[in-house]
Order: sequence, then structure tokens, then C-alpha cells
Amino acid sequence: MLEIQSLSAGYGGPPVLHGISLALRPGEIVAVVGSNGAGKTTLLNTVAGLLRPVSGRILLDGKPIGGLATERIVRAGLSLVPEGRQVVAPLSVEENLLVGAYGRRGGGARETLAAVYGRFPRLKERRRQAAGLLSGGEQQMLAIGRALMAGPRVLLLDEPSMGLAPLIVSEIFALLGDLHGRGISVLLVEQNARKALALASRGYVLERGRIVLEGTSAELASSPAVVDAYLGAKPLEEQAA
Amino acid sequence: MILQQLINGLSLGAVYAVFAVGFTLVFGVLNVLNLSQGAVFMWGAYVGLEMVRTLQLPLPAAMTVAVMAAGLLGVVTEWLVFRPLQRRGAHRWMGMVASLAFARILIGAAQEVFGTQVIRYPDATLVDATLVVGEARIQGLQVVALGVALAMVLALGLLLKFTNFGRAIRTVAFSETVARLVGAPVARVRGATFFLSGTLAGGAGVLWSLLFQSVSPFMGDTILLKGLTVLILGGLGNVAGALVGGLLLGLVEVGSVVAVGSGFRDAVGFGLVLLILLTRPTGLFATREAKRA
Repeated sequence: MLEIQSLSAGYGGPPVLHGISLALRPGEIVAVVGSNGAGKTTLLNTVAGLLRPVSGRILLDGKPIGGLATERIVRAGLSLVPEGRQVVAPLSVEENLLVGAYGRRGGGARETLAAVYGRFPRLKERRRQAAGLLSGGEQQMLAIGRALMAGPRVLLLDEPSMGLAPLIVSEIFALLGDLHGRGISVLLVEQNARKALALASRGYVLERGRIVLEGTSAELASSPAVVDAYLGAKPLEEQAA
Repeated sequence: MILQQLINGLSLGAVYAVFAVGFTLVFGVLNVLNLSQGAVFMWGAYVGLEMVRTLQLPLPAAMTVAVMAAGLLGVVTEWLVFRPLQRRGAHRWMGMVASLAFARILIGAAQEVFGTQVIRYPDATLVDATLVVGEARIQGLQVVALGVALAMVLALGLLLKFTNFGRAIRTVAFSETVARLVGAPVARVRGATFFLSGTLAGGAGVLWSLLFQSVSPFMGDTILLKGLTVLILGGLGNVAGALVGGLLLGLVEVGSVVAVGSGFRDAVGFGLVLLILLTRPTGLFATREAKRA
């Protein structure tokens, strides 16, 4: 589905990501966990086409998408729910959703809109309100709904739990589990490793721009290194010292 | 008397509004002042005039051609001035200065092509009906100008509010990153924004030259300052604000001519700007979003 091969990327200076390789199979939920500054956002932004790769390949259904314009990547079936939600504050909830279908080819936007409202009844209730007036959790739902409006087969999520109350986080994660039931593959980047690994079937640990560990969620969740660094308290390198 | 001043102020203000809406639209999307807008306004007026004088087109057709030509000039502005600067990551001041330079080139070109004397539309092209209501003499032309101006602003408003492309423009205005993430073609949206802004400037140019019976290479300089005034009155990037601000400025100017004499017309207008900047720096109609941003 989505395959990343020895990807290096950054912001023009020294690369932030060094030779990342990871794979997302159809219908799978994969988590990438790592601390602040590990390069998680850079990874997603590069895959979504907001940043150009320095080297390496990104394949969607076997076709290279690395370095393509974001609008073409969206059309190819990959959408990103960005860090910090980034709903378009002055637009209404419904306008945010409609603009999400902008890059969509063919029809089906109306049906998807109905499906999104079905899944997020609160968005339907507030569909005429400015998106900026929603609560954080509602904004996160709107950001996810907006990404779904493009009809993606692969959904990338950047820290969906950020700044949200635990109860809301659980609600959002339940929803992501639901999505994957509908055949959408999900690549989830999270600081909240416990929740992310509970949802995902497999995971990768990103540290200083490199993948230092990968495995099934159960393996990672029981790995002492992960427990100490992400489920406990200490970072890996301190533990090694 | 009141009715007379009201219609004078509204028709003047509607032209300000058309110009300012185009001005504020580009500001909203690019966060930069396009100071060549006045020169596009002037070229729109000349193109309209030439269509009538040389090609003998009827006024509506001439105005359509002028509006389209000005739209294209807007696209050229983006392509020659703003796009290269943006690609280089230049500061927004650079865009302002570069667009001012581009305006000077456009003005110079107009001087070469059309000469520097003030020209008028041939009388036969004008709507010369006059409606007398009590003491007021309302020129048909004023009513037509007011109607056309409001129609242009309304059309833009509907486009922005109810079409996919309008939503894309508003999304780009909010965040280019988000626009890219939803699959909007950001470069094309920008180009189209400059086109729309150019059509509004050109339309305002034709209306202005009809109302005041004068076309000259320097006519864009005054309106540029008025446009800035309205931009501040209405709030930067606020289209509805620009409409109300334009009408308001027209009424205030006409009112001040009556009340304190024509010498004070601009003083009152710009005094209003100072007052707004000191008391409500986000404009008269700032929304909650604008205040937070």
C-alpha cells in the first residue's frame, strides 16, 4: 500500500530523517512513536508532499509519489491530518468538510459528507458554526472528517491526541479503529505511545530521525527499551549510558 | 438636497468599494499589498475608452473587454512580480515595492501610448437620462454605476461563499499548507485571485471614468490611496468590510464637501483612517477570528 524506502528529508539544512524505511499494508494501522523532535512530523509532511525528500523513495500502490505536489498525492489517495488539527477557523464546519473534497476526482463527495456526519453527529449539529469556535476534540474530528472527504485509501495522522482530554482521546482512537474496519490504512504518529500501540497492529520507534526498533505492537509494548523510554520515563540513550 | 448627496456619495462609494474589494482580496490571500492595483484600474479605464472610441463598441461590451483585459493584467502582475518573489521567499515588503515599481512601468507605458492629457468618453456613449426628484437631479449614469458596482461585488461575494473555488480561495487565505493538504492547486488559486482582483480594478476604472468624465495615466494614484483607506476601514482582507467601507468613504467624502468645503474632502477621509487606526486597528467590522489572528 504505502512503502517508504531509505528516505532522507529535512528543511534544506542537514537532513532530519536518515534512511527511514517502513511499510503500511492494506487495511493496517501502523504507529510511529517517538519523543518530541524525533522527526515524526517531518516524516509525515514529506510523505504528504509538503516537504521534498532529499533521497529515498516513497511508493503508493507501487507508484512513486516522492516529491510530487501535495494535490497530486491527495488525488492518488493519501491524505494527512496535520499536527495541531489546522481547521480553517473562519469557514463553517460544513465548508471545511466541502473544501476537503476539493482534490477529489469523480463524485461521491455528498455520500462521504453524509457518512462523515453519520460518524460525527456533533459536526452535523454544528455544521453552520465557524470551525474556530469548536472545542479541541471537535476540531480534531473535523480535521479527520475533512481528510476523509478526499476519499483516501491511506490516512496519515499527526499527533491526534495532542492537547486533548483523555476521554476525548479515547473517543478519537475508537474512531480510528473504526476507519480501519472500512479498509482505510492508517499511519499514526504519536507521542502517546501507549494509546497508539494499543490501537495499531505494528509499530516503529523513531529516534533522532532514525528507526531504532520495529515490530508488532505487542512486541514493542513489552520491549524494555520502549517501556522505559515511552511508556515509562527515561529516554533510550540515557538508559544505554 | 440630502437625496442628491446620498446618490452622489453612494455612486462614488460603490466605485471605491469595487476597487477596494479587489485590493483586499489579494491581501487576504497573499498577505501582501498589491500596489499596482491603481495602474490596473487606469488601464481598465483606457481599454474601455479605446473600445468605445476606436472600435465603436457599445458600452456594455466595451466594459466587458476592459474588465477581462484588466483581469489578465492582474494575472501578469502575479506572474511577473509576486510569483518570482514568493518562490525566492522574499519578505512581503519586497512585493509591495516591486508592485509599486510595476505600477510605474504601467503608468509610463500608458503615457507613451495615450499621451498625458485627460480624455473623456464620447458623449453619445453615456446614459444621459436624468431623473428629477424634488430638488435632486439623479443622473442615470450614477444609478447604472451604482448598480453595476454592487453587482460586481455581489458576484464576487457569491463566488467566494458558495462555490468550490471560492472555498479554495478562502482556504488559501487562511493557510497555504491546509490548502495544499486538501488538494487545492494553490498556484492556480493565486493566479485566479489576481485575475478577479484585476477585473474588479478594471471595472472600477471604467465606472470611475464614466462618472467623472476623465481618463488620464495618473488616475490610479488617487484611487490607490482611497483603496488603502477602505482597506483599513473595512479590516485587512475583509471583503464585506471593503464593501461597507467603500460606501462609507464615498458618503463621508461627499458629506464633508457639503459641510466643510471641497478642500477638506481628502483630509476628512484620511482623518477617518487615523481615527480608526487609533481606536479600532482591526477595522470597523473585525470578526473574532481577525482579532485573534
